[in-house]
Amino acid sequence: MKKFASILLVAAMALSLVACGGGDSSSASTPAAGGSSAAASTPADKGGKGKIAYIVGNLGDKSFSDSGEAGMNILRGEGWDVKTFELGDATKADKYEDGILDALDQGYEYIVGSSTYLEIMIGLADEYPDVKFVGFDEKKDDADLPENVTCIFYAQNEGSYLVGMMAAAMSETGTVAVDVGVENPVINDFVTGYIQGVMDWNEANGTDVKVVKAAVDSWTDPAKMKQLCLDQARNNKADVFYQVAGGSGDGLFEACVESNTWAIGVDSDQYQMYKDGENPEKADVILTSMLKEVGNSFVSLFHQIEEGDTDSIWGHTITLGLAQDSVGYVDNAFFQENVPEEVRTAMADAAAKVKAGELTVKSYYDFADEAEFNAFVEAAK
Amino acid sequence: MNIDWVAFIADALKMATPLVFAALAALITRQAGMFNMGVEGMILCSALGSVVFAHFGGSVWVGLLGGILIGLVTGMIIAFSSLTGKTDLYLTCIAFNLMAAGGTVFVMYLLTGDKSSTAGSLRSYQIPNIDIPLIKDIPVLGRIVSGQSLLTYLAVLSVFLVWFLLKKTRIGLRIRAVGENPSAAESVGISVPKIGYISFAFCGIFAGLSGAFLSMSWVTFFMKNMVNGRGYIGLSAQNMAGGAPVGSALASLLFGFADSLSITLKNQTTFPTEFLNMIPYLATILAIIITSVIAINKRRRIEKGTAKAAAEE
Repeated sequence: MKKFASILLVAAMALSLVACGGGDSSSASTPAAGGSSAAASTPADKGGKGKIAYIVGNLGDKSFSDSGEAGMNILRGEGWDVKTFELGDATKADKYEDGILDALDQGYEYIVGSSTYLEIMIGLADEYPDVKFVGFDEKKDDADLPENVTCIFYAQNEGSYLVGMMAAAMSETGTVAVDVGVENPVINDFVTGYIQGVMDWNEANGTDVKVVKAAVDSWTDPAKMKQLCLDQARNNKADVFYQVAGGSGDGLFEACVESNTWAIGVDSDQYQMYKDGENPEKADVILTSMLKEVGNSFVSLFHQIEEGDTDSIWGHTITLGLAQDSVGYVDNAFFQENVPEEVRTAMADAAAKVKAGELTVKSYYDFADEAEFNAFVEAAK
Repeated sequence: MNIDWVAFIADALKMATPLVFAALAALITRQAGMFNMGVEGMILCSALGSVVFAHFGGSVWVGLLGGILIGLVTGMIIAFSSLTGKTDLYLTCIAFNLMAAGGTVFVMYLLTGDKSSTAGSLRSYQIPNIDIPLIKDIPVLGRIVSGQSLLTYLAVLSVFLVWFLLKKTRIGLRIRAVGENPSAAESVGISVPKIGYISFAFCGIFAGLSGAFLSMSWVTFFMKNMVNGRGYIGLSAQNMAGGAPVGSALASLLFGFADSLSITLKNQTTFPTEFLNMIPYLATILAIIITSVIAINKRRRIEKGTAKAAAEE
């Protein structure tokens, strides 16, 4: 009956494919986005706008990938032929290149993928000179970018800087926390901005707020994250928590509810997400969320392409920050109710200064090496 | 550094709870002669089952029963393919774990439209924490022993129930007999597949409790992959103890402590976090080496003894 085992294995694989790769069909079958299904079936009436392949791991993360998808939906409504390819999580990494080749074979002219796929895209760029590749959430020297590739980089340090100021102002115990999923350059850039925000607040107001930072080393271990935060609340007396941890971040919010502390969300408006959901009371710890408008950046990029103004795009890294409204924080009623006016004004002033170029926020990419960054983190503790 | 060590111990107990249940689940099938790696996937399915049943049933208790039910069903699936279908148990378990990883996301997507977590889309229910009268007023002990989740107390109780089941009841004796020597058991009229199904049923109940603890007590939602190897840790905990209930619980507790320690050290020191994450697994390997050395020595002594006895004859 070895046959039975193999049937079972096949069934298991089929199921995992359905679960992870189900996006192709789902994006085609949701016509809510301004007639995308019609667009997919009749690319000929597209009125000259291009074909875009949006490459993501999995939709449904309520932040990064979904924000990009929202932007793509806007582009669909404007007449672009956009198809979303879900390539699955890191366990499917060996299939990433095949997935992108698949999109190329289907004749897509623009391939949009996150940093995860950038190296693969750069590798394919020479082979497909007529196709344009857009890698987002990554920074590359222009010298390393082929002529038909662009990188969109978000200045998450600027948005994090502002919420860092707020965290310092809101802390009663004198310690705030930043808890990340897995450390990588982009995530460290969040941390750098946040710590800088706390430090500048200290300097301006004569306070001495400390920052404790930790990593759970998983994007999907909310249980461990919750424990980590409770430990910080108890032993480090932290009372404002900033999550940069993807799915694990949901554990941080629960820890804040349990320990009666404040939380800061990330990427999208997480207060609203909880308020609209089944557990609205959990939203009442989220003072604000640091926004990273991935979707908006796609829309403005493709508008620019449509206008033919592409000299600054191909072969370059585009940095989008506060000045381009690509990062920021949520300014809702809950935020206004709970954060004192002088803090809100200070945040707005700092944002204006960054936009005007009068204030430069420290970035992880400014550090010479990892050791320098670690020393920076350590000094804030 | 200002660490609250009493709370640390209380946390270690909490973190050991899903491991104890996982170890008990793996232990019962092992006693019946089956090394059940599928525990990991069974816990994952139960964790999802718990929140789904709780949400649609509107009560935490419906959720708890639902989690146990899903544990039972998944146990039966593995038992059916392995015992009735006569498939290789290891392959079945690997296939099952893969299926659980994808299948839970698929089911979550069907029910909620979310692919990552149910934090926003399904109502959260929490299994109550219990304050024990009198004991809760004892200074240090009260903070450790009292105020834990109901399931943590149930885990302690389960350890002794399983011990009782295996050592003192007829069904326990049969399970062990099948595990020791299935042909001998069959020759005295014990139905080996039936005992296998029964042991998988017990296994399912404990896997269900482990899953329910993760998604309705530790946190109050389901997230894809949320078990994160805790099933395997439970499996190795019972392996370390050679399938003994109390020993397995103690081994799980050791892992709970290692986990709790790695979190506290992360926040209090500058050790690289990758190293700290290794602690529980390092502890596993060390513990397995130590237990197997002890077992080998014991066997060697017995062999020496029998050789000596033979020589004397």
